[in-house]
Amino acid sequence: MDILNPMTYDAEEDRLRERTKYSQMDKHLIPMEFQQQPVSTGTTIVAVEYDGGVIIGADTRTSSGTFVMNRFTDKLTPLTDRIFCLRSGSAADTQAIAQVVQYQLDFLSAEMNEPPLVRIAANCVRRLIYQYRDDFVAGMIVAGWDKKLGGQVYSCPLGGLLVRQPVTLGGSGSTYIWGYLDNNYRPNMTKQECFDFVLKGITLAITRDGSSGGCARLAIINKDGVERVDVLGNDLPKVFDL
Amino acid sequence: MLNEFNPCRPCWDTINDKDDFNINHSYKNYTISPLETKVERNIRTRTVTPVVTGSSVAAFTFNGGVILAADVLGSYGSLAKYRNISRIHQVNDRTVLGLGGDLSDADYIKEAIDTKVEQDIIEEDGSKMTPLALYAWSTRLMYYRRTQLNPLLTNVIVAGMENNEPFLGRVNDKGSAYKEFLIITGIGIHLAQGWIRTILETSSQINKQQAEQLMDRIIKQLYYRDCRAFARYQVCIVTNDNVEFKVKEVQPDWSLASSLRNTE
Repeated sequence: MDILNPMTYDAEEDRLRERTKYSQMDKHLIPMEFQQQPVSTGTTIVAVEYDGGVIIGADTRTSSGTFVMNRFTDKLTPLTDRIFCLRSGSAADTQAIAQVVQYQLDFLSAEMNEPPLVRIAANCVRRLIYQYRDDFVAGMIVAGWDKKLGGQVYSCPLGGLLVRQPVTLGGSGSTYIWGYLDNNYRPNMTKQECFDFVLKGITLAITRDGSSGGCARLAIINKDGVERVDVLGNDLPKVFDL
Repeated sequence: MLNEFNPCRPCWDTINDKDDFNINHSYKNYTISPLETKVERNIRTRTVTPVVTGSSVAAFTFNGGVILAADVLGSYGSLAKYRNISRIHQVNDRTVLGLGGDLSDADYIKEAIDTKVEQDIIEEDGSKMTPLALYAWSTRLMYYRRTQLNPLLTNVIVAGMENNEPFLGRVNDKGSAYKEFLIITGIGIHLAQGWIRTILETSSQINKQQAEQLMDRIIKQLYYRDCRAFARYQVCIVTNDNVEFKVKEVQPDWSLASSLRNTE
């Protein structure tokens, strides 16, 4: 380290980044399946609003490249009693965001002496993603029920956008079910229809996407609370195969 | 009328242009571009990566034969695109081929081998391809392509009965070949080969029934932990009597899911 001619801040950062990277030889020595790839919830997440609440669902696979790190992941993370977030993208980033927002909402609900609104929760998530947009890889869906507006679904994708939608998809597996959504979603579906829609969507995505798999975890959130349903891999609805 | 006027062709001598300005002078007549040599022209300047791929293939020998298993999926990157592709190919009544990696290169290998088998039939001299012969020939093929820097991005497992003894060998895309009692290709080497080898080494010769059960267990493990695995798979058993193919479905156990709620 040269005191008289110190490196600029950027140069230091670059050096640090170089040191933490593994050697270039790793590409040639380690087989492709085991090269360090960030652990991601390469995922399928679905959220739908119905009259009186929301229905959310996700698959249960966390992968690192082609290796399944966790086949029983729970991607439905509670932010408050009636607000859940669905996580997709880097597992570490989304866990950190959920943890911070949980704290923020807990503090807020103590201040306001009432449960926070879904929009406020979604905004907290969005603010974090936007502030660190160059660093985070996090696509999240915030869904829940509050007294003011009932069931709401907010999408907070990669760049830090906040948009409310009646139905939304996320994760790598979602690309395979946009067509299913466009064809099968109608506004004002009943609770059971929405449940079947979410379950079928996740099943179709699991069938086609390599980064999604395992079981389907669903939750129904309304004013009475949260009802969690786990549909095991063998019990998923049958879809066309072959 | 101008005959064959070509505005792009100069009408004067461009090389031996003798005026002072040398306006048509070009150094390109004196330099050799790096891609001009024959060797370099034949090397592709970009890496070819596998496109439609098959995942792992598992194979081991048991008392009286060989068993192979591979799932029936062709992945297009992470998309499970082709869900009914057979990756185990029967060559003759005592040799089979298991293929993993790029599936178009696998088809090329299958065609090359089928041509060879047809040649043998035509010649009518009574000779038939044995697993060892096929293994040696595949090694030559894969290594040749490697030396041309144009590899067939496939792993080939050759299995069968050689002199009524079980034979099992693998050739990879670099032309590296070996024979063993247990061979797994793809991510399965990390997920299964270690503990299966321990089981096979410590147990005495297992019979066909046990071999099938063990193979089902291997495929189930790969289905749990490989992102590019598929539930339907093909099992092939080669014995002195015959070559038997079966299609099976993995029976996974998801019972831990409910107890692992609210975990990351």
